[in-house]
Amino acid sequence: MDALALLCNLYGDGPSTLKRLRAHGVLRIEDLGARQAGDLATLLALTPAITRRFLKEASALEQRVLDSADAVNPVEQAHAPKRAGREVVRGKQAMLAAAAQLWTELDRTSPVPQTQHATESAHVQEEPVVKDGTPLAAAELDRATFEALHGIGIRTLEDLAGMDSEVVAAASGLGLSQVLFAQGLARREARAQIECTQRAAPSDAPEELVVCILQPSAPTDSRFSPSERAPAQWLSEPSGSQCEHEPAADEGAGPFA
Amino acid sequence: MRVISLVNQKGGCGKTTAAIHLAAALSLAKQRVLVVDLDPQAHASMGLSAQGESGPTIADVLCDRVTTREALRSAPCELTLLASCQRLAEFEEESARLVGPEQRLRSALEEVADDFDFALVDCPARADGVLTANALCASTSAFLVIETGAFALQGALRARALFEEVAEQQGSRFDRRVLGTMFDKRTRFARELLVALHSRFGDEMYDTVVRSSVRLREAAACGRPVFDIAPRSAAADDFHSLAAEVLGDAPVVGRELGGHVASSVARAARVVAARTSKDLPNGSVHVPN
Repeated sequence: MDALALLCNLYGDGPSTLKRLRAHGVLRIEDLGARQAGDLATLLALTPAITRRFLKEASALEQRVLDSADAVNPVEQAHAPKRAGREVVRGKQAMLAAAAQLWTELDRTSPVPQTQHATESAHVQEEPVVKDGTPLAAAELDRATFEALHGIGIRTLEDLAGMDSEVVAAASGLGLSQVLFAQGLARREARAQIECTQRAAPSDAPEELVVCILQPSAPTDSRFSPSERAPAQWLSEPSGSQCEHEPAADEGAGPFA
Repeated sequence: MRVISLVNQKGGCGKTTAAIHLAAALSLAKQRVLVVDLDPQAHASMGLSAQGESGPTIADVLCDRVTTREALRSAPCELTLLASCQRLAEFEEESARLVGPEQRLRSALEEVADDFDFALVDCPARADGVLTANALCASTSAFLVIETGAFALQGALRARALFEEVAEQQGSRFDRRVLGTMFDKRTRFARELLVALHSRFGDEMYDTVVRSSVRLREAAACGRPVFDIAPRSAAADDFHSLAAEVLGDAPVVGRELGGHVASSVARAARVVAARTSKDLPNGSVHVPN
């Protein structure tokens, strides 16, 4: 079994995918790198998003198989001829160093906007300041999604949350499910930002780092809906000085303690 | 005739299912195929709608009570079956009184070697018994069937070492291949395991990995191959692809080419295939063991 067959078994439709790829001249996993995602999507009858993921997995698997081959037979690999047109990085340390270098280069050429509180970052100064709304970077989007959204001019979470999903998907090239997921994240993050702003110090106070600690989900006893037979103390509201999810000290931990 | 044994000392890893469906797929590819059920549990016989106790079986053949031809039965998908029965377990005890008990199956199959292109031997879940030794002695290829599930990798390494030891003791030489079965790509565990199997057995593994499928279970319950009940299922696809690989593995050679020569032919064919598909860099030829 070669790496291409392994890839088709892991992330494709097994022998059907393998047969289609081989019939169209993709004989090795390395050949996938030269193919456009659009061509492959047509060839494999997949959506562009799935095809992009397939290519991403192919790249990862190729590297993994190479590393594995290094571990199995380092002498044979040392004498193997280098593949043309592309530098192959072998070994974990070398791979990490190459990744770090790549990220440094990417940061230099296409700076990514940081969160509004990271004032010391030079990237924030280079980016246009987002005055109204929460920056897109506040949501935990993956890099590809962020870049696609940023590329079509979406700068704030409010913009993202308010736009039509299908329009965003069509304009950005992302899958509809990815857009819906990103919008969900954006809405959640925007809500969290608003809550943080409301709890923050008054505006005339000196600017300081606002640390948002998300409330943990309610413990089981507070989710419990007591029946009519439940003691009255369970139905009473906790006192104002305490967190609404914590029971008062004198009322115990609830029915499931 | 090429004789292929499906071996693993672990039970429930898909040996019987692979034997039945690979045989059916080869038969659909216009090959004459004999299925030899060498497992006393007789699951391959049941999977091909045969009742082992109702006629002569492989147990009778190995004990020289009937000839091989007398024990042959027809089965679905134009297969021919040498059925098994529980009495086959007695052969283990009886073999102590026989001369060359591990050569019995080879002799039995030589009798019908001209009638078939392939014989697929479904081995019991015990790699060190006399039944598996019989299968390995008669084989031109041995498939180590590995389930892509828990304990598979460790079990596979042990099984491989064990059947190589058995083969060495018996003086048999055959082509060794690895077949992955019961693969469920939805689980990360199975995917990781397949990558691990690939890194360990890469050259020996078939490109086709048989996926886990409800259709295969339904087919076993119906006593028919999956090609009869769900010919367009993923399971049917998998076995068609596997059959194509087996057919392309090596030229179909005569029985006299069995053993070491067949193994060499298979290795040579794999090298040629690898060169053709540019898997190997120019000037470096790695011959799989």
